[in-house]
Formats: sequence, structure tokens, C-alpha cells
Amino acid sequence: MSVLDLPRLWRPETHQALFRRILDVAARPGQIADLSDLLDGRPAALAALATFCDNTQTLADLTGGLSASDLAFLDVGTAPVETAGFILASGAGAPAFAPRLGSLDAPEGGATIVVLVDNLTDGSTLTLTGPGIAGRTAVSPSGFAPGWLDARARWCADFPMGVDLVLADPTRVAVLPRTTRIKGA
Amino acid sequence: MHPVDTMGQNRDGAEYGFAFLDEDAKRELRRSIFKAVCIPGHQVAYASREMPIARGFGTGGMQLTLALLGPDDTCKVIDQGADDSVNAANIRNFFALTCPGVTGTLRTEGASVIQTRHRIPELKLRADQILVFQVPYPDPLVVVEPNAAKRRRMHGRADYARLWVKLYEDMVAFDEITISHRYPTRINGHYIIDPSPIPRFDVPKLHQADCLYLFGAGREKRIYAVPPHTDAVPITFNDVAFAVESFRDKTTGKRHVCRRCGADDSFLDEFLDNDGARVFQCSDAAYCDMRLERLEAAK
Amino acid sequence: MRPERESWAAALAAADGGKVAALADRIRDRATVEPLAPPREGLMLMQARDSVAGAAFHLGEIPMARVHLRLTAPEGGADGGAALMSDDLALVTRLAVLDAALGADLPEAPEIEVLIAEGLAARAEVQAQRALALDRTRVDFQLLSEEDQ
Repeated sequence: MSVLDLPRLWRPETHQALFRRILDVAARPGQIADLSDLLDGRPAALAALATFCDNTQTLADLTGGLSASDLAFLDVGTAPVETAGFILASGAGAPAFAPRLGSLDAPEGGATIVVLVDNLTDGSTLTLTGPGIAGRTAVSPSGFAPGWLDARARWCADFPMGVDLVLADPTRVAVLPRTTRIKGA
Repeated sequence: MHPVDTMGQNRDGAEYGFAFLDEDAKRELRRSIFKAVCIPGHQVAYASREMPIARGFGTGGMQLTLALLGPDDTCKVIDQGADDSVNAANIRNFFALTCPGVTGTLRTEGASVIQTRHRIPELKLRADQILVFQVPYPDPLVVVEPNAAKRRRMHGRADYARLWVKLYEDMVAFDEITISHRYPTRINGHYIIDPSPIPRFDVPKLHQADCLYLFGAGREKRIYAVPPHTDAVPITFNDVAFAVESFRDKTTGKRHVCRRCGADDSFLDEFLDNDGARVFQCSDAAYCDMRLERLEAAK
Repeated sequence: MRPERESWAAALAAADGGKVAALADRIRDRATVEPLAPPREGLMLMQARDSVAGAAFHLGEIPMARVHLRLTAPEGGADGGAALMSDDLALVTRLAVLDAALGADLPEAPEIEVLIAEGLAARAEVQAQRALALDRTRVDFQLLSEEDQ
């Protein structure tokens, strides 16, 4: 017994399990990954950030909900929202910021935006088509302002540039990559 | 089959972490995989790590697999369809050594992660399976543009005019497109990828599949992906159909069958037996064995 | 006299490993230790500067381990940390525990200081040996023309 005992959310084996579930739903937009058995009561949005962030990355927390301790454990640099690689934002209101979209040569520079929603399954239905979806599918987030869809459409207008959204309710996540076409709301 | 050995130990006796790579390396790979899936067909640059085998022997695929594997995974490694070639067997042993808990398997249907060199298994892969390709040359534009920065720009703009010209020249010179493997394939109507040296026979399996395909080029430091249910179209001309290997006998017109299991639907390897006769056999050894087992059971 | 805190970890890493482990584990057993950040262990790029133009370049990858924790004992507590060119996370964790214990002036502080002094002496000896080895390779450049004059 010589190495520190870490809270579950910060253990490497948790990050591996989180990654596989997030990858699974990133490859299949509209599907929802239940992370609750890995969270120990922490929010799914924090788990998504923990999967991807480290001291080579930058984060803009627009919710102000991350504690100093969470930021220390994420070990991530903070940056203005315009330049951050990861953004944590609330889905309640329309976004009023301009995220990084990447470039034609390196579209992977587009931001990954983790959007906090109330619930992924009890809101109005969004119809999804695109890569990863057989025919069409749907996701029904509540607490996801229609302004987000307009902003996302603007940001993702020039494929391959754009942003990728991770919608997170308290225990689950769904991914809307830049390629997904969304109707409804 | 392959016993899970004790964890690898370095010279000072300190243990390697699970899956050999350090957590920072795995996290970077995972970020790159995530973006590769979000931008189907785009080659994401990543910091390819040194592996205990030489670059060019599957280090790109290995790094992807190591970033994916968890202790409850079952892993299969094939090389040209065979599980028992030196490269595949050694990579599988390496996973068993460095990923305690991960089970090795030869069965396609039993694997959650399959790493492959140059083939896609004959059995249709399911949604809960991931196929990881070892990629020697990730960029299909390298034959027409030597400058990497220019190639990136061409990809971003989906400017593939010079690739079309190359195919056209093939038609003019040889009356057919002469690409036998690594066939340029357009993903989701934008990026054209090099699907690694799989035969033409396997290219249609990329189109609207159930499983996720991940490609890793260790030496060239690139990761790309074809998500499930995504268009993957081999590029060709309106009046020139894309054709897969037919394995038809030139004289009789009949399709050759596997000499072991009799399969008439699989990709066949052609070789000379000890008497110098031409024979054909399934390239996917697991598929061949599975058919043989079923034939035995039906007897 | 207690040396600068920056040199504690390096000194302790050079001291007798068995004694360092025993002392750190003794302190840890009677205190509570909580991580303040995830321990990091892996390869990082080492930056160096060339001696002519002063330009920065990456010399290569080095193993690096880093631990940041809080130690709380009945007599008091403190934050402690250590970062070392090493792949031995257990050692670096122990160094961070000792760093915190000395920072909090726990009753074990004098023992830690003894180990630090040992480590500093060991390092000085290694450095002296290296300086000696280096000295043998010293070359006096003489201009041929000087003798001609």
C-alpha cells in the first residue's frame, strides 16, 4: 500500500470504462450512455471531462459549477471560451459565445462542448440523421434551449469545421457530432 | 488459450500500468479517437508513442487497442486473416501480458475488440464489436501530392481531382483500375481514406456497417475512423463499376472454393501445394475453422 | 540547518531507499493522506537550451512522476508534493508524504532532516565524482602560433 487511493471518478480504470461508453454513443448519435454505476454521485458532465482532459488541454467553464478541487483533479488549464478546447455550458439558455471551430486543415481543433441538460429523455423530440445512424433516430433532451440548435447549425455549417456536443444530464450522456443533422424542437 | 501472465515488469521491478501506455498517452489517444469518430474519414494527428516493437509492425493499431481495452474485454488479433502468424500471435501475447484480465480469442464472434492487418473478417461484425486496423500508409493522396501540408488542405476541401486523374490514367493505360488493395474509399461524401491494404473484396464491408472501424498509423502518426451506418464508397467512374475479386476459374467460369472447408463466399488465398498444384483456401482462418467444425458436427 | 524546500525531494530520492520508505510509511500509517490531484506518471518531453544560440529544443522523452497530496496528523497537517524523473510512483508518493510532514513540522521532522542531509551528501559525492571524470577530459587549447612567436 504505497500509492494513493483515488476517488473512483479519477481512477484510470474508470476513465477506460467511461471512454468506451462515450465512444459507443459518439459513434451512434442519439443513443444514450448511462454512466451512473461509475459516478459515485458525481455529475456525468464532470465524468465526460475527466475522460478527456489533462494538463495539455484547456477548458472554459461557463457554468461556474466546477469546484477548485474538481479543476485540480481535471488538471486542466483554463482558457477564454473562444480558445478553449473543451467548454462546459448550460443548456438552459441559448449560447452567446463563439467557440473554436478548427480549420480546414485540422478540423479536430473544433471545440468539444459539454452541455448540461435537465434530462435526456423527457423533452421535446429531436430527429437525427447522419453518420452512425441507421435511417433516423431521436433524442429528447429537456433543458436544452432551441437557441442551441441554431447556434450549432451556424457553427457546423462549413464541414469539416464545427463543434461536437456532449449532452449530459445528471447520470447520462449523448453525443451530437458535427455531422449529425437535427430536425425538430 | 493464451494464459494471462503476470504483469510486465520493468528493470527496476516497478510494474507497468494496465495496458502498457501511461495514462496521459491513453487519454491523448482517446481524444483523437473521439474526434476521428466525429469527423468520419479525417486523419487526426496524434503523438504516436514508442512501442516495444518497431514502427511499421502494427504500432498504430496496438496503440488504439491499448487505449480501448478494459479488463472485461475479449481481444482477437489477425494478420491477413490468420490468428497464428508471428506478428498477430506476438501482438496478442503482448496484450495478454500487459492487460491483465483481457481474454484472448481466435473466434471472431467472441471478440469485443479485433485488431487486424490487411483483412476484415468474413463474419459480419456486430454493433458491440470494434475493428482496429493497422495502417502502413494513411494518406491516399500521397501518390499524387508529396507535400503533406498541401495534402491536408486538399482533404479539407475534398479536392480529389488529381486522384480522379490518376484513376482515369489507369483506365486509359490498362482498361481497368489497377488498384488491387488500399482502394481509395470516400467516407460520408467528403474525405477519401486509404482503408489500409485490405483487398477490394473487403471494401464493401466498410459501407453502412453495424460496427465501428478505427484506423491507426503508428509510423505516420494518424488516426481515422469509419463510424457504423456511414457511407463508404470506393471511388470509381459512372461507367466503370467497382468490382471485387471474383475467384472465378478463367476456363470453366466457376468460382474456386476453399480446399479445406469448401466455402464459396470467402476471400481465398491462392498458393501452390507440395505437388506444385494451384490450390485455394480461406484467408480468414477463424471462418474456415468455424465452417469445418459445423461440417464435423453435422456429420 | 534545514535546506530549501525545493531540494528536499531530490535529496530524499538520493538517500537510503529503505529508510525513506520505512519513515514515510510510519508517518502515513498514523496520519490521513488525501490526494489533491491525480498522481501522474508517464513520459514527458524534456526541454533544453542549446549553449550557442540559446534556442529551446526537445532533448527527448523522460519518465516523470508527480504527486500532490494533503497530510493530516494529530499535531497538524500540510500540503505536500513531489515531482521526480522516475517511473516509481510509490517512491514519489513517499517523498510527497515526507515533504508534507516536514512542512507541517511533525515530530518526525528531525528524522527527515537526517535523511535529507544523507541524501545531500550522497548527491555531493556523485557530483564530485562526475566533476572529477569531467576534469580528466579537459583539453587545453593552445594556439600553435604562440610558440612560433
